[in-house]
Amino acid sequence: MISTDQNTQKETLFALTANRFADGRVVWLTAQGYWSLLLEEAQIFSSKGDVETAQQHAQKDVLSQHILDPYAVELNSNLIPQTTREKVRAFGPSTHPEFNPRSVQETMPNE
Amino acid sequence: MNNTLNNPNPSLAVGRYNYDAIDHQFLKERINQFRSQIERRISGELSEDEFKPLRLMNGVYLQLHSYMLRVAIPYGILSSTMLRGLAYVSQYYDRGYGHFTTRQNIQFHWIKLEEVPDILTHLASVEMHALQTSGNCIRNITSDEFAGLAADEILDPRIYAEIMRQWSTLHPEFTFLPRKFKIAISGSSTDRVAACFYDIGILTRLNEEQKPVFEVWVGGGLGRIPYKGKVIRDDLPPEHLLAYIEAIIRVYNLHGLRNNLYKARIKILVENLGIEAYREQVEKEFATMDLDQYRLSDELVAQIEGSFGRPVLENHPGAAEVLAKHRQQDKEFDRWVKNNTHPHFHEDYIAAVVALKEVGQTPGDASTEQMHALADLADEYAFGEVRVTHLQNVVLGHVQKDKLYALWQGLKKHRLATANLGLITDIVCCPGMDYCSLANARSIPVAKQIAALFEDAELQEKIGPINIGVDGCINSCAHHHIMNIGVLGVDKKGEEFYQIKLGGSSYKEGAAIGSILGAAVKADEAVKAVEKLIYFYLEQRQENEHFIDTYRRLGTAPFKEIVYATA
Amino acid sequence: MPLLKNGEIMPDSWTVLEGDIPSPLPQGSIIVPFGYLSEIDINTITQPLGVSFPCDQDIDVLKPYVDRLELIVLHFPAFKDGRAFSQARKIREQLKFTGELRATGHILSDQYQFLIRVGFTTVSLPETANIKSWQQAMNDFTEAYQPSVLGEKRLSGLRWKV
Ligand code: SF4
Repeated sequence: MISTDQNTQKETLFALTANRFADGRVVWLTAQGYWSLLLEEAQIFSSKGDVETAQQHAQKDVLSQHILDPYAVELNSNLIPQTTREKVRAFGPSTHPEFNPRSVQETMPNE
Repeated sequence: MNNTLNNPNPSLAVGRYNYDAIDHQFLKERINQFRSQIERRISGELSEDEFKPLRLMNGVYLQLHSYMLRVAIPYGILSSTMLRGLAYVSQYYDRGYGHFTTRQNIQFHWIKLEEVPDILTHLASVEMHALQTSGNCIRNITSDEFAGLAADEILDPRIYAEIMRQWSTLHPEFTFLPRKFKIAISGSSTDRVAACFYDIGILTRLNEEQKPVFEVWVGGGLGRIPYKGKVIRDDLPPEHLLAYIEAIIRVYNLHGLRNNLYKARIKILVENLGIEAYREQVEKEFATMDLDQYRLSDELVAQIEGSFGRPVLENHPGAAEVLAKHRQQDKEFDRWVKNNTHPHFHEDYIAAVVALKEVGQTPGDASTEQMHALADLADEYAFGEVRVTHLQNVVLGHVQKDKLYALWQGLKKHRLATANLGLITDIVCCPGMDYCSLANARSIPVAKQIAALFEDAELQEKIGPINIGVDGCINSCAHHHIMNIGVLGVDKKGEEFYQIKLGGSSYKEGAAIGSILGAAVKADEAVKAVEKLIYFYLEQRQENEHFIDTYRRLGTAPFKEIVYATA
Repeated sequence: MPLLKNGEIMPDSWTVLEGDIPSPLPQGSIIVPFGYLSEIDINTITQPLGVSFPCDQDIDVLKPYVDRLELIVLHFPAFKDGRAFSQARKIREQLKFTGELRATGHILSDQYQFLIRVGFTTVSLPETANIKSWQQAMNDFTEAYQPSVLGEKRLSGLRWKV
């Protein structure tokens, strides 16, 4: 279940997310430059500027039909997304806890 | 109606149009086209902006977690073979379930883009497709779930729904309309399709000469600005149906607003021009058309009708008595019969409604196993025909009365015998923010929590007929605007809030758009608010008044006070 | 810009005049903006005449000129904007125009058969267009579920041969 209590942290962190072109799955940019299904593997940015630079770099993955629409997500200091929408994206539908990406082992089609 | 009894062709699937070689060829060409569109997208020839409307017209959305495929169930009719085809897709291409929507479609939420042509090929083999289940085109034509069995029916609307389905398929003029376009049709004058809330809604009545004519509503719709439609013509001869709706849509295609997403539906154009001016333009267009080309001659209608399978309804003397006995012996069955059946014009048959609304489950979801079970039960008890309703339930239309008990026992084994049809736990619910990329808030957890409060069967019956719709955004897929109680998710800085609306009603007789009760509240408070509304109604109701009548008698104010009064 | 007719690239012999129309008019076949027709006496023009017609006007206003026109150009500001499909159909069916009907603007090859079936004869393509896709698109479907302006052969029921 998604926790709804908002962390009142001053510091805002960011991760870069997108949907994978082939299957639409939610992915996160890692420090190694690949896209992971797991938020916990995401590269964490501590400034808006840095994540925006990464977002511009990610355009190459858009043009190669690897991902769609990369954008920055705000995280709290526990590395949990701030909005309910992004929590649902990160952890799967709240009505199906078994679909949390951490419990669904899947490989990329044709990869 | 006597047609239903004559000339049954046992090789045809009951209740729906059966494809011939031409129809199969068409779908094959359509799938090949989509396959090459995907290739052009992968090669970069098509941008995502260009590809998006093309995939949408094949029913493929990008949702929060994955692609979603929306498959059309024209006029809501499935054969057991089709249902098994859907079960196959759910098992091998998805995650073991499908979600029935309020527009007689089914959605699969975990689809891979590259697999879509294969899925469509599989669906085509069972005469199904995902054509025009999205996009700014004429969408799946919906109809009355009791079509072909209701006692008050004047003509079988499914024949005309099929005619419109074919005519609207890749219509060269109307595939890039200002916005989506939804049509519903009922074959009786009793509105069971919410006709006045469609872009075009069609009801049927007998004219002075006792001939069937269509009453055509135009410009209804929900969404951000809900409107009740207006009657544009109340005496349309069925033979001119295609020409007339073509004229309606042509005027809309030329003059509908295109620069604002929220003002692009036909309802706004009708509202802006006024119904008289709109009618005038349509009549002018209609007058110029080559009516012969569009005429639905008796032969043409008979030909389409001939492709529909018909159930062989025989007399079963004593069936009703057997049913009465079973009801007496089993109270639980009796309750289900009372709530979940609908009369059939043939007195030895009855229509059974399978509520996909078990408390604790997601409204409208069916598992692979349940789909198989329904298909098997349909084969055994209902001529292999399954109907899906716009309230996310399923109907087995022609069940012999003396076999209803056995059917019910079969349903029970698969947790498909919830006896709550039309009661408070029969909640209509959109996928909301658990899946939908347009959502502001989750809807399923809220619907589940409301249902859990009223799980007790006796309490549900005491509350009586009521409908609740829970939507995750103003698009109103779950029709919250026209539900007795509507719950609408709104976003406040990334947090989920819910607005409550009261007094909506869906059908022509007494159709109404609900009014907002007050400020949006958090999920648990919204659930509590619904609870308070219900107990207040129980206190205030006179005799066996339904919720909506108590509301109409008392008005919004006392209900508002109950919910928002600070203790 | 390449001009497509029946799936083949054709030479375009028409000159498009926009903005300030020169006087005297250039030689040869010319396409003028619709507004220009009311500014001049159309009978003084002897050369082949075409008109470029906006997508937001009622085609009825073309009525006085239609017999004199050899070409009408209709516009797609975006491929999602389908007004010109209805305009074309009305021009064919109501104005009985028999000359060249040309589509221009942002159009996808996936729309080619639709264009043809509502009465377009040519499409003005951007230089970057993939002609192969357009040629393939012409044969995407061999049948359709509604009558078109082409008077195609009815197969049976509501199906027509394309
Ligand atoms: S009502 Fe909104 S949130 Fe719910 S399914 Fe429709 S578009 Fe999505």
